[in-house]
Amino acid sequence: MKEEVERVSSLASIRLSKEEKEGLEEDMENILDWFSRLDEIETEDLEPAFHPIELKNEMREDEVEETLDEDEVFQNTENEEEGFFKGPSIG
Amino acid sequence: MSEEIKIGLETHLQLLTDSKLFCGCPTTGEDNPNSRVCPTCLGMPGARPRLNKRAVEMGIKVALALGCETPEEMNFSRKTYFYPDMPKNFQITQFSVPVGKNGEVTMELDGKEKTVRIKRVHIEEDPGKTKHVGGAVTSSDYVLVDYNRSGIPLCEIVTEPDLKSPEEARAFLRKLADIFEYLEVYDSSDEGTIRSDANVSTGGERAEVKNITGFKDTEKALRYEIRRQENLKKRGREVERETRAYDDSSGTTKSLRTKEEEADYGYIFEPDLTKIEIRSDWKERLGEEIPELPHEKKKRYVKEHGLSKEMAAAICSDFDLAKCFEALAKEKDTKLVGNILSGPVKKVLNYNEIRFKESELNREKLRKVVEMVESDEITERNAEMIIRDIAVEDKDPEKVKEEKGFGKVTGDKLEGTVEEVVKANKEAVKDYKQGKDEALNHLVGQIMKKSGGNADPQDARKLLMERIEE
Amino acid sequence: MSAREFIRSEVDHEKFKEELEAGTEKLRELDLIRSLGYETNDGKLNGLPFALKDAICSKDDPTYAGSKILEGYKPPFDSTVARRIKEKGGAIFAKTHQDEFGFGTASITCAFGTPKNPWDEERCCGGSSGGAAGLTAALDLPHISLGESTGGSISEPAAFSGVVGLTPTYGVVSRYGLINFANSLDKIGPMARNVGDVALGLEVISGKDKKDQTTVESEGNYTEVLNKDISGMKIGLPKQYFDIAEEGVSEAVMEAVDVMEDLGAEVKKVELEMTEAALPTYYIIAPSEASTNLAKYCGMRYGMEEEPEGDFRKYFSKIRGEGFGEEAKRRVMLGTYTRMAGYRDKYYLKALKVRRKIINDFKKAFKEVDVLAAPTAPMVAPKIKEVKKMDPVELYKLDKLTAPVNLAGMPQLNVPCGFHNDMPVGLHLLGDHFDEKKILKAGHSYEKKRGELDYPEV
Ligand SMILES: [Mg+2]
Ligand SMILES: [Zn+2]
Repeated sequence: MKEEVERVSSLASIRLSKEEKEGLEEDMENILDWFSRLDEIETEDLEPAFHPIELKNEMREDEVEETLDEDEVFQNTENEEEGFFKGPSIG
Repeated sequence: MSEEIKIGLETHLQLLTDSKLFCGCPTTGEDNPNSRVCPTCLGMPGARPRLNKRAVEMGIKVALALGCETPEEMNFSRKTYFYPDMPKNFQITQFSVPVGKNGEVTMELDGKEKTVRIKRVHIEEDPGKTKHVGGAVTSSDYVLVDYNRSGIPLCEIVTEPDLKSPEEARAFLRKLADIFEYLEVYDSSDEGTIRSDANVSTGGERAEVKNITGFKDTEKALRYEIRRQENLKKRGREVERETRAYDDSSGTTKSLRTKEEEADYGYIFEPDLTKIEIRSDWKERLGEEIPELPHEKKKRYVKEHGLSKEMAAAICSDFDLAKCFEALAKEKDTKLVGNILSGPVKKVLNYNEIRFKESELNREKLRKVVEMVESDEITERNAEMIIRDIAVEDKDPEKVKEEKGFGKVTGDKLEGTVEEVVKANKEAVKDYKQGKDEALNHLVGQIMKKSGGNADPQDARKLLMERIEE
Repeated sequence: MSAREFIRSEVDHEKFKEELEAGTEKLRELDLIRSLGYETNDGKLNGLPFALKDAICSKDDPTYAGSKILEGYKPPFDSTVARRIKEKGGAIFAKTHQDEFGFGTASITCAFGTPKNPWDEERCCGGSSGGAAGLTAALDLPHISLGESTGGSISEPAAFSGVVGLTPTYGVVSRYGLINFANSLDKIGPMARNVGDVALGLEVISGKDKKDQTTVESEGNYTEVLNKDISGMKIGLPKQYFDIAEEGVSEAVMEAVDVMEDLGAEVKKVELEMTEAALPTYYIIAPSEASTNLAKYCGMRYGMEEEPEGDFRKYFSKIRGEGFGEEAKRRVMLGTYTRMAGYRDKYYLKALKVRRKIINDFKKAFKEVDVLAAPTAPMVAPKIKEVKKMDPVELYKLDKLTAPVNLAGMPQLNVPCGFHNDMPVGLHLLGDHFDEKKILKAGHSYEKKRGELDYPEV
């Protein structure tokens, strides 16, 4: 599970401490083991249920709607520069 | 280049909707950064995607036009990966059931037909745009992001690795853009809206080259990548399976990540959208809206209008030019219209790297030009000079003709010039009479020069021969 | 007070303001709410006060979904439910504390304090809408509290806190402006001290919404079924549920069932064979979706942030490592795992197929009966310090009786039905898709017969 935790934390982009990783190794092992109970359930001809109710063909017309004002766009961040959002570099 | 070259393209074309794929923000308009955004395309917590019906219809049309199978029911998925230009850090795209599968595109290259298999067609959203501050892509201090592009609808076309050279790849993209334009789902005037990732192998492992924009750069990036792989092999080294990025400023590709670091997109079904059933009546209606496509049109022009294959191809590669041709061909001599549109018009457009609709040309202006040629007021060569002018500036062709002093030299005036030339070039006349055919060309050239290019070379030759035979 | 009376009654704004102010300190001490002040709106509801779960956005009001990573966030837009409340003349007066992003069954994972149960402050309120349930139990003023349920987060805290909680059919209430936990499961629903008020709450917030393409047209007029009798109504008792619950809990529920039988309902036993499979199914689907929803929190645009420097992978993973709590990290890790290329079929897709089987299981039962009656939770509200000692799988088991019906997206109503160990027990009424009216009718009939509940003085 150690390798998996490493890989998943990188895919999920979460930095974890050594203790957190160790805890998660154990937790995930237990939980995944518990999930394996589903293996016994026969699901051969069943369609996956993406939603609990039948939903189909919900679409909107191609119409332009209102956009946010500039102050609303940036009201939740300090990281603004000349109308752009500032972000980390693509190293 | 190696026989074993295999290129597969994943090409993104922007669909021409008014509003974005999943929100009502406009796709065009104000250019200030982050001026066309809302909670949805900024990925704010609690906001949701709402699927644009027109974008779906455009996707279905593309799939049908490329001869794809369309599913009875399709859905959208979340493709998760982290990137500063991705507001949700996942992209809504199609995964297990795309709008089209197993189609093909037939194109022509150096007079030969070539069919490229289309693996899949799908609809997805575009991320935002990043600007790198304090350095190049990989060495900048931070990035500035504009999300105006975030959520713009894209149609992605994935080919099988059927392309054999950079030239073929470029021709394929041109053809694809033409088809999209015919469907009126795409505006090809901005090359920046055609973006490809290319899978390239030269016999060994394949490398994926990401982020190539436009036709020319595709050819350039592929040339570079093929050369890079062949150089590696020459030095006895293996090509690695990896993802590389194209850097348009240097025209080179750089390694982004190796196979081991490859992303795992963890696709899940997009639970904020419903499945889309493509009912047969809907599909039929959309099918009926598909116009005659470039290759069909080309065949018809050859058959119906008697154009040569090359002329027909030249006209059909620009939808608006083809529309203009069809209108003028009804009123005027088809051959002449075909000559002018496939010749001087196409040449001028290519020279300026613009499409017909971006030029100042239109049906009325070209009708005048055709009329002037028809009534012997100007030569076809003059016509080209005029078109050169009126293509880039909104000018009246008659006025240009006068300004330039064009007016076809015919009748007495031309006879007079012929007489002058014959008298002044006795040696050449003698040579011709003794069987030296090139001498005649020289004499025609002299006549053209004297008449300031306003004589018809055909006419001049005829008169000249008559005069000499006397 | 029934809903009808509620609509007619004048909310005494001055009194509400005064008493809310006087009580706010205590409500904060119990870690139940973040107060927004009280501003009335014109309209039919005459300023009826609403409290929103912290995951429900209201324009320019602090909305954190219980997470440090969203601390300070003020959405620039109203959720559809908030908009409907305002347009109809209701007033939003508080955000209630909850488990971080809804990840919990006891509200012990909230970044802003652990809500304490007004019946016994050592005990939890349940989760994840713990603050919402606790507030309603503590605040003796007319109000409706909106919660949100993914796997039981309205019913279970309502049961633990002794209040009424309604989870509507998936799609009946718009999720626009709800900070997502798991989109195919999330449902906003009302909580209050009586069935009439939750029926009114649902009337206010339900209805198809252009901004959420998973919403459906619903019947509305939920209050019209109140005061109708339930004679001839077929009530099913799922055997498995009573087996799972503690004896004292099952007994209290059976007493309520007896009352309904006296009122003319026909009671019969039914089998729900998929009950055991529901919990692992839920704990695969919900984190799979949640882990994609939480990807957006990365230190850009909103929420926790620093001066963005260096490589984005480093910056994002640092912010996310610091901003998410322990349970959020666990679920993001799990959910990322269950949808990875090699495991997607085994976990994610498999769970979606089992979910189909669970829906079919309920559909079969609803061919035989109108509603199902069962214990809401297997036990009464546990002590906070005991909950904190539980390992994840043990803790997840608190959802055991609510996960199946939530996976099926069917409506559920918790009605307090007595006590066990001096703590409230909940009767859970489950209905088929869109059968909100049936469970409201059953719940209201029972409640009238049961009589007023003595809420603790807070
Ligand atoms: Mg793509
Ligand atoms: Zn938008």
